[in-house]
Amino acid sequence: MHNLKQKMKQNKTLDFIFSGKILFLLPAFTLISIFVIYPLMLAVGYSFTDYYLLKPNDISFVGFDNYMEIAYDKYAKKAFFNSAKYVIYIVPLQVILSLFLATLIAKKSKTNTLFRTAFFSPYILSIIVVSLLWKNILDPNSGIVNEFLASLGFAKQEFFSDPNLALPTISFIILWQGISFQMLILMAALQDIPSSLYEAASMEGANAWQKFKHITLPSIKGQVVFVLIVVTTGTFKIIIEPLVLTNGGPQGSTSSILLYMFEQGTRYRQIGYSSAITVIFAFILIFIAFVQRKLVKEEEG
Amino acid sequence: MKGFTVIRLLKYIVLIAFAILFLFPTVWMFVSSTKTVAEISEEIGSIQSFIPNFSNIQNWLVPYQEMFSRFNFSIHFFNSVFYTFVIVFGSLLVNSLAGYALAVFDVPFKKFITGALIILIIFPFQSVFIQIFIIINQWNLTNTVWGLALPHIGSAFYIYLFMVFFQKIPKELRESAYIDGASNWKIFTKIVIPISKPIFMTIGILVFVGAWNDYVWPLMVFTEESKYPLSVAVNIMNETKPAYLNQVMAGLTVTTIPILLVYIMGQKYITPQNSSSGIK
Repeated sequence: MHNLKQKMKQNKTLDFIFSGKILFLLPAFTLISIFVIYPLMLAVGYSFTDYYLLKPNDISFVGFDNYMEIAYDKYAKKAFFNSAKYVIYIVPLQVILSLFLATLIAKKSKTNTLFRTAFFSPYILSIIVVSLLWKNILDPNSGIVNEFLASLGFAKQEFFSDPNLALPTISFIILWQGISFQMLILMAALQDIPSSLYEAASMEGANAWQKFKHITLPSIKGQVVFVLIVVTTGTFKIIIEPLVLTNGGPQGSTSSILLYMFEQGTRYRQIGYSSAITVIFAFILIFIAFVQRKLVKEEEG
Repeated sequence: MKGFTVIRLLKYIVLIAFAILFLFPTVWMFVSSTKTVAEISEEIGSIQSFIPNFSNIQNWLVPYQEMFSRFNFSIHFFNSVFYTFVIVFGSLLVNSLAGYALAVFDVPFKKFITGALIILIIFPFQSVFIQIFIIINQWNLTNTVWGLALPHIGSAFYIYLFMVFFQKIPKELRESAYIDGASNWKIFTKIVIPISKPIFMTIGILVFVGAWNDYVWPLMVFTEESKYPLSVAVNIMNETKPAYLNQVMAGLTVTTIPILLVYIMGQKYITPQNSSSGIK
């Protein structure tokens, strides 16, 4: 019996190979093995070595040295800390603001379509365009915002070179672009709530806040969790904005995990060290995915 | 109902304030790209800087001409079109085939493979681009379209989206063709693809936008300036002194317009439901 089962399984595999069906799977399988799985394995492997890009034949095993070094590297710590800061600045505000705006314009009407288009407009710009646009708008000498501040009698601000202002400024720019899409997702969810629920609540004398708390929020909880996770992962992946706007400065105050990893790997060519950062970053991603699973399960149960 | 109108008024004030906040940078970009540098700096900070100069309509495209001749912009534009086309075509082909196999065929270890795919979705391209660069470098693929495109083609996420879509196609459609002696390849191209336009459009648009906007990876793969796509060229343009603001804004506008067109044409395929369905 056991033998027969094994044989059938073997036939299934043989059939899959010789019928040519395997050719459907092979290209993607090859590409993903080479460019996703293999690099992940390389990252783990390299992270225990002193691999320097220009000396590929002189690699030695250094154990956990790279990981220890990260713990003592001021700028690495700053990059990790900054990424956490970005999350704190961006995630709650982005979720709350996109929910707030979605609530205001969820009802289908002509004026709301206009507002929707206006709110959605940053989404069509690429990150590099958004960065360069705001770099010019916030320019310390000739930017619109500083001209405007000056005309009101305020001092001009060095938005990107003041260490206290640079990270909040970049967070604002990311927020400015990110709200649009999240708002759209939440708006679609709001539109799916049957209006009879609100009518019934009105008849019982519920006020706007009560309706929001007891009808709106529970109905869109799933989408709020989705937005929360997407924004959190997205915020941990920040790299282009600080790279283009401040190059991580001043004094590393805007660098992110990915930007620091990128710099160590490309400019300083420390592949071993950079790979250790990759591995830690991968664990952060795994942790977020784990939390997501828990939240989704909780919501379903 | 006394407070009704006040709340309504307040609501519209808030909405208009946000609309201005979200619109003004893009409007300023479009408008500035049609003006002279002197006009821009003269008007900066005033409402005038957001209104095109209609008395000068014949000169609106001058900054574009200047920019194209000064920076060889057409080469970068063509590069972007070419790279994006390769990535979109490759991605649609490779991922749809794999998604179809997993949805329809009796694939050995299917459960394991789909489980592995879902785990791989966790790790985006950016998390391992240093290691991918090592591979590309060892294979001497830097400064080639293959070095840029190959790592971007196979995607666990898109395979998964295709698979979910193909699973919903009724079996009968395929089986009748199979009995008629059609090969798997023929069934896929003649029956499955024509009825799967929505998923191909949705993923095609997502890949297009991602490839067109890609910045860090082309920066790593290309060292020859003539190979740069628009995203990298436009940053160099902004950093090249003297930077003429009207030319920079023209460059940003040219970078944006193809995306705008793609969104307008593919409007009905980009819905929040489409984009979030794969995650749940």
